[in-house]
Amino acid sequence: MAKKKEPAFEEQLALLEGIVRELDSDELPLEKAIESYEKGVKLSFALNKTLEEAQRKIEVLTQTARDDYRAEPFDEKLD
Amino acid sequence: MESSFSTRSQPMSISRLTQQIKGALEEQVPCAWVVGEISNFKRAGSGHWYFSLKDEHCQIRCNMWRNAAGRVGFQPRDGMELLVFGNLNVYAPRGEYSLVVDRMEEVGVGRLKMEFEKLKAKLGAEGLFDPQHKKRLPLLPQKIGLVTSPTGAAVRDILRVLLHRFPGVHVLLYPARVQGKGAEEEIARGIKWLDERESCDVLIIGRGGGSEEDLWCFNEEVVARAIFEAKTPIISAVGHEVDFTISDFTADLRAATPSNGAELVIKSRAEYSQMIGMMRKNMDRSIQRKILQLKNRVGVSESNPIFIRIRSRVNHYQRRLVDLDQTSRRILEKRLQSLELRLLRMREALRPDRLANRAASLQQKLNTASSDLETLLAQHMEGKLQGLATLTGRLEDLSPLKILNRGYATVFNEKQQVVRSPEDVQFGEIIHVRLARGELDARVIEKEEAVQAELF
Repeated sequence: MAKKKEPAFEEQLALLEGIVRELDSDELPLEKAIESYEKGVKLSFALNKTLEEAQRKIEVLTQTARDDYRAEPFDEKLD
Repeated sequence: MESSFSTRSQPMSISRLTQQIKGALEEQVPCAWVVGEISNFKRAGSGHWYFSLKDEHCQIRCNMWRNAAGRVGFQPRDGMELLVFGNLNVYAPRGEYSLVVDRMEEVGVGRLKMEFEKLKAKLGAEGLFDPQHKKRLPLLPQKIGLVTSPTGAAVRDILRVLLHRFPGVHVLLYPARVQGKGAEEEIARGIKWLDERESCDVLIIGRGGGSEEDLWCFNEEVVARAIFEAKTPIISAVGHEVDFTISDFTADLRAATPSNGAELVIKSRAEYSQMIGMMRKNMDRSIQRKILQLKNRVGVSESNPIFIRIRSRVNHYQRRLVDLDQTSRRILEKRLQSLELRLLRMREALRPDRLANRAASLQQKLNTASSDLETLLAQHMEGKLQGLATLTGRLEDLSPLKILNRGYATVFNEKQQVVRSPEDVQFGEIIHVRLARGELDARVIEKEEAVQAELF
């Protein structure tokens, strides 16, 4: 079974949501609030970066052996 | 045997015979309601339907013209029990008879449909469709797996939607047949492969629209089990809106069509950006609100009576300081003024004009005195000069030089004494003679007695 990698985007977004909730609840002292805010801003930048840097990759599996496949670029032929 | 239609000597042509048959059949059975099991169903490119209806013993060829077929509210499949209404037709050129069907209805439950219901009940009982087994789809899949035909419309639709929404998407296709015998095995293999070996975040399995037979592989048990056992979330996107397959029930999410599947799997990049943007705005607002709150608290503290009192006292002292400063300035200025006044008065008392007059007269006196002095001095000098001249004359007269000029000489002996008498010298002594003009040395060679020098 291949290892399931945690989707970094979702994780980071969840963290950001947590920070938003934290700040919204208004229970943090000022320094902690500013700290959280900074973390939140960093996260939002990282998330946007993930969106921008995603590289398009369309592949198809080609059989190389009876039970083996290899990924190759797929010609989309979109009309 | 003789008949009314033909004789041995006057046989019928085939056409004639066929015509008779046609007439007889079409007359006897002009139209009828017929029931039977459908088989060999084919939809031609023209849109006309060709199939057979049979029972245990016999079968008859049927066809349905496009218009009539279009009015059928379901997709006929081999094995279905059908009730049709049509009329007999003899196609003379081929010598074939057939039923031209005008209306078609399902009767009871077709075989395939029964299979469907059976499998659905079985798997449902095993819990394959239970909601608690359904996995959540990732918000932004980094790798999307597809199990579908590489040449079908589905893969093109899916890719088009995916790329339109999120140009940077990563997709891996496991190519599988999606109809015909053995397709279900390929689909199940594809699901297993992608799930176990390719670490996709989500899978889409499906195909474009088609007949119920075409879609049948997605009703097979092997596919349902593969979906259920997969760890990756799976979207089933089979056929059209109205097509429901066992895959749809087993999958973590059903999509009405392959395009719909692509929409369910990923949002547009703009939407993601907006999500992040909103959170950012939210945070900004929260932090600003917090700062404002704290500012207010400070403000409230500032308006606390203690602060007010302190501030007023500070103000009070400040004002006193200003007052003192002003007072001291005024006093100093006054003093300065009075001193200036005294100075002025003193200046006036000095009467500079009178002083000037006095100075002028004194100056004049001085001038007078000065010239008087000069005169007196000159006179005095004159007198003195005269005196001097007189004395000088007398001196001159007494001057030895004058005497010398008259031819007298002064004689010095070797002891440098002035020789006045021969006793002052010795014989042969060198004597020094000073003349009026010059000097000489001489020797004494003769002496005579002193002569009375005085004349008076």
